[in-house]
Amino acid sequence: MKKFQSNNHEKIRRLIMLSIWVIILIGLPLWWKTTEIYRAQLPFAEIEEWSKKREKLDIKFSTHFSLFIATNVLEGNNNLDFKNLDVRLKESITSKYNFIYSKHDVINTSKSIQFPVKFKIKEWNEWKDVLKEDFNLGQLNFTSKNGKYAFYILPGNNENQKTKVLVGNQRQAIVQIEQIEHWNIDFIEKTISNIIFNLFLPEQIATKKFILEPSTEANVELDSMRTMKYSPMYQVTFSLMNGDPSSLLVNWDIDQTVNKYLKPFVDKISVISNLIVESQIQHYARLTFEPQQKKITENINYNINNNDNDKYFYLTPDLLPHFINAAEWKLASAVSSYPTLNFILYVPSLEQSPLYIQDSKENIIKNNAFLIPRWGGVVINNPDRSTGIHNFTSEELKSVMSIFIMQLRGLLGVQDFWVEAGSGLDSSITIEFTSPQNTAITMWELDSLVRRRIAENIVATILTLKSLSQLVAEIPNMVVLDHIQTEVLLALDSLKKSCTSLQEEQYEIALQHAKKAIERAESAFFDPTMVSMLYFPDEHKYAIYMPLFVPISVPLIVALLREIKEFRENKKKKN
Amino acid sequence: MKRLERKEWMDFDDNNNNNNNNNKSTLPHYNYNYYPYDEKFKETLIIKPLSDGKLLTHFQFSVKLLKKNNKEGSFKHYNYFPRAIGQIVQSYNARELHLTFTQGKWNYEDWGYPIVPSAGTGVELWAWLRKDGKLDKNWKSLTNALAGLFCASLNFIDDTITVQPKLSFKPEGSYNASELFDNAELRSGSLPHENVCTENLTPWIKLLPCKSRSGIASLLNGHKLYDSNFHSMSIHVRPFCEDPECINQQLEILQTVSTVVDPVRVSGKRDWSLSQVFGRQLSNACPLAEESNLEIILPENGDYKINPEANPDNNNIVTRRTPDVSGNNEKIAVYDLKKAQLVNSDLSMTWNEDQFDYDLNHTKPLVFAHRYFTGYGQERGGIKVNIFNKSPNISIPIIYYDVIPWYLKLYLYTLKVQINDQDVNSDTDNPIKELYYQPAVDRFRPNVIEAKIILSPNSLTTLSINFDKVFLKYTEHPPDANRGFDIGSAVISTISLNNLNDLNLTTFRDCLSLNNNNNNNNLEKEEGGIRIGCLHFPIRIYTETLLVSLPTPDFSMPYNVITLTCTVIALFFGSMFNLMTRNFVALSDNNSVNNDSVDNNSVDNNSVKDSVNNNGVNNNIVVEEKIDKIE
Repeated sequence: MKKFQSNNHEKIRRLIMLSIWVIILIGLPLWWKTTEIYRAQLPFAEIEEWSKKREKLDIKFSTHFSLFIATNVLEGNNNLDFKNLDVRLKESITSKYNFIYSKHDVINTSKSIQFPVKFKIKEWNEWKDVLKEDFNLGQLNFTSKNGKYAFYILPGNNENQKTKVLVGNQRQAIVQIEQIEHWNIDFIEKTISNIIFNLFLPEQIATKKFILEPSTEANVELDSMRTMKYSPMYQVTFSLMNGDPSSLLVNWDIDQTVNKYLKPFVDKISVISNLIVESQIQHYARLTFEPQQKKITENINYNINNNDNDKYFYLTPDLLPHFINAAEWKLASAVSSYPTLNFILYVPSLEQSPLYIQDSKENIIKNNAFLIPRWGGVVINNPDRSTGIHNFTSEELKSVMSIFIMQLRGLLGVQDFWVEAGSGLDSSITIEFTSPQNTAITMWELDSLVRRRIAENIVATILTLKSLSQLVAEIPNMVVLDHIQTEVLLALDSLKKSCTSLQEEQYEIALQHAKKAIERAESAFFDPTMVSMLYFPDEHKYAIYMPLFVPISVPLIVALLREIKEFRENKKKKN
Repeated sequence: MKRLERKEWMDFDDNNNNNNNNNKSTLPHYNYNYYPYDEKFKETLIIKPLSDGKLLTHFQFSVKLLKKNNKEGSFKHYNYFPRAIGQIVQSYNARELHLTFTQGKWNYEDWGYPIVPSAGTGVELWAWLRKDGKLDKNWKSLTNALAGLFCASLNFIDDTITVQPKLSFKPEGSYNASELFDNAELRSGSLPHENVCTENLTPWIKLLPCKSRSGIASLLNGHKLYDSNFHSMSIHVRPFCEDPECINQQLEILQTVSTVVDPVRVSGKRDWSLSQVFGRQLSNACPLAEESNLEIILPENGDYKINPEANPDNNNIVTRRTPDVSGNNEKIAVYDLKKAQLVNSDLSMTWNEDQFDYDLNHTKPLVFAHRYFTGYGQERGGIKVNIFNKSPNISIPIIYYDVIPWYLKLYLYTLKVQINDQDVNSDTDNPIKELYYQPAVDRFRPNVIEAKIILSPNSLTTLSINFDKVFLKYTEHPPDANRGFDIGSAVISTISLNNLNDLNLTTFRDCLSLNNNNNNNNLEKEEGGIRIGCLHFPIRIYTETLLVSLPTPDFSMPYNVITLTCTVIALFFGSMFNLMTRNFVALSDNNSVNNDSVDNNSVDNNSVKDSVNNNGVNNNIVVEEKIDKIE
């Protein structure tokens, strides 16, 4: 009887213990779940995959060239045999690129991005008409698609001149081989491959470098230091800064000027980024420092029109970084969060005029302007003060605007074709570039910028998403809301679409997708909700749960231990 | 630099460039009166000695921008008009914008009405926004942008504070009739707790064309400005009609700073000079200003002298009718700073008296009001407003507007009206002609009372209403919870006596009813040439702000509650657990334990005792825990 009862007690006690432990064990995950921070599931694996793929990114920027070669050039021997020309050109250009890449360590190690070339050889019968009209490029056909260019090759008649190349502002170029003995397949191949190679090399190196080492500062070239970070929209602000309105009132016909000179460029570049143009006049815009002054000597006779005294003021290159008076000049936009490009036309006060910029060799810089990388440009103007009022007409502003547009090109990343292309060509070729009419950017330059922006945006999207996933992984205390997930998924989707369009050589579409991808990735990354929760850190949780959990768990654990001990003793006894 | 010199790449088409060059040839020869700009800038400083010996200084800067460029009236090229404000107004589609920072209370009884309506202490923002489908988002963005611009907490104007007044805050700009009612909505919000200081003044000054470098703005000295009895700083942006048909519209930005300083405090006399009031002297006019005037509103009587004296021959002393005081012509001394009348001279005013004697019989304004809390304790209370009409024989129409935050639960049935301390019972006697009441929704919107009231002549009208105080959640309290919560001013809009003379009461009523039905023809018929709509309440009187203390918890309480509760639960659990899993056996020192009884009653402590008692063992009972030692 006693034995039975005691066993019964033991059983009940164990049941009680068991049930309490079961409740606690069930409760723990429930508690965990209810106090959990909401984190929408992000596609970490996919992001990881992309970021691994970045270095071997399968992007191809293929370019097609149609070569129109003049027919019936030489008497008798009617046509050259162009059968293998396309293959030969392709091989020769590819081998040239590979040679260059092998010299760059970084580029050489990876084959992530490729620039295949394709050629199409066509016969050209109407070439004599063009020759008559003295190189009128407007008549020649050109394609309206990025990545497709036409080269017109024709013989010349001036035996003593070098081979001439004229690059049009549409997607065409004309090559005139002046020496008639060079009218053979080998020379044409050599010339064309040389030209194409030189025209496209700078773009390719820049693109490759960016993709492979986007963030290492040491590798940043001068060009990319100047260029603004990509944004789909820029706020362009023209400011007329008047140093002292008490001695001179200024005004400008900026509306007209912008419409006339800047608008064509804005329209053209809108494929890549939209520019919002605004202007303002600021009075009492003082410098933060006193410029140095100097007597006018004989050898300086730039339009210094200050007759009253014979001194002028100058800024040295080391003063230029302090030129912008950020504390007093209202340059920030109150509503837009897009990056601002500032262009300042500065009219110095009477006490500081005329004001010039000197280079390090103490020569006055002719256009009196300087560029501030990733910020904007400044032009200093010393207007006529005799009437006390000066109105900058749009005619006067033309030269200022041309400097501003030049600076704007640099800030937006337009590469100057002539500078780089001219340097690599061998001495038997002279190259000329047609100036763009009004738009300030040729199709060649625009195409190149489009291609680079595609590559940059794709890489930037991948990097942003990678950082985002790292951030989410590193801060467990951060809420990840559903719309972040949506943005990330959409960004990945746009990224895929962009790469697909690239394969199909649809550059414009690829750029649109790449733009969307980077916008979405950034909006997810910079979302205001993406911060660690400040109000309920882990320490607080422990402090709050401690008074409950410790007193409860002590008897539970002690009882459990005792139970186990007893169980063992019982076992021993039985044995 | 080298790259910039290459210019040949750009080949502008200049064929159509034959216009606008004649501009230059017509420039006059060095003449300050010619301004080559579309925008017009005026600066004025008005100084007015007040009847209690204090001195009102009022700076007023106005820029008018001609909206001409395109149909939508948008503009992007700025000169005098501040770009920051222009951007905000345009991108958030605001038709009118009024922002006022105030510290101190305007003393209506002693000082009369201010030159432009002041506002209650703190920040007041109201704007007419065009309906474009995202109006509420625009309002939110507007408050945020202004918060950033002026370093103020305007971004705290959220749904719980934002109000859409029905009767007050009518558009102040001028519009053509079609624009007036159909396409804009009013949003208003105020932050009575906001402190105003130099960090708000600095961005405000930066919006001026001449900043504080020249002109009368150079007198704006933060040290002196904030050492005053009252100061108010405001920005008003509103459209302006140039012609009667309102085809050409201008956008005007009016920036004002008013301060009331007390020269009597310093010297016991009313004498003042510019250098004493502002710590600076006036050197010149802002060269950009079309007009730059300093005006002194001369007292009606008194033996005073101004140095340098305004010259009556030069038309410097003018008389004009001011809108607020009872129709009298005021004498004003005007100094034209463009004519360099004051250059390098310290303008001063001296009174021929040894000591200032407060004038008890000075004229008081007709309508003024006071508001205060009634009741005691932390549970409930009441608000009482006394509105005075001092006019001996004219009934004056007013609009009463009060916004009470949701944490005071108003009871509309307790709204009581008294005239001269007599309860109003019949409907015909009731001075409240119309009443709008928006009950609060907790954590969502405030209580709003708006009433059209006719004040009978020479009367004191008292409104009172009771409320309950809400017990807030502990996170809803501000960091300085024990300071209490500020309740913004009530606003009484009324008309000036001048208008009152022109206007009989029937037209007043019609004008009010116009606000409800959008019948503009009615207005045009009755008012003839006036297309400015119901701008019949140009005077706004702000009452005191109030401070209410809500029941405030001890903020360490949550943690205490948690720990205490946890401890109680833990104790309960521990003892329950022990009781359920342990056997208790009574042991006596003589070892005569009845095992049976122990076994039978082992679960319950009481029964252990019972069993022990049953066995008659009374001495030295030891209740010992026994863990299954029963063989």
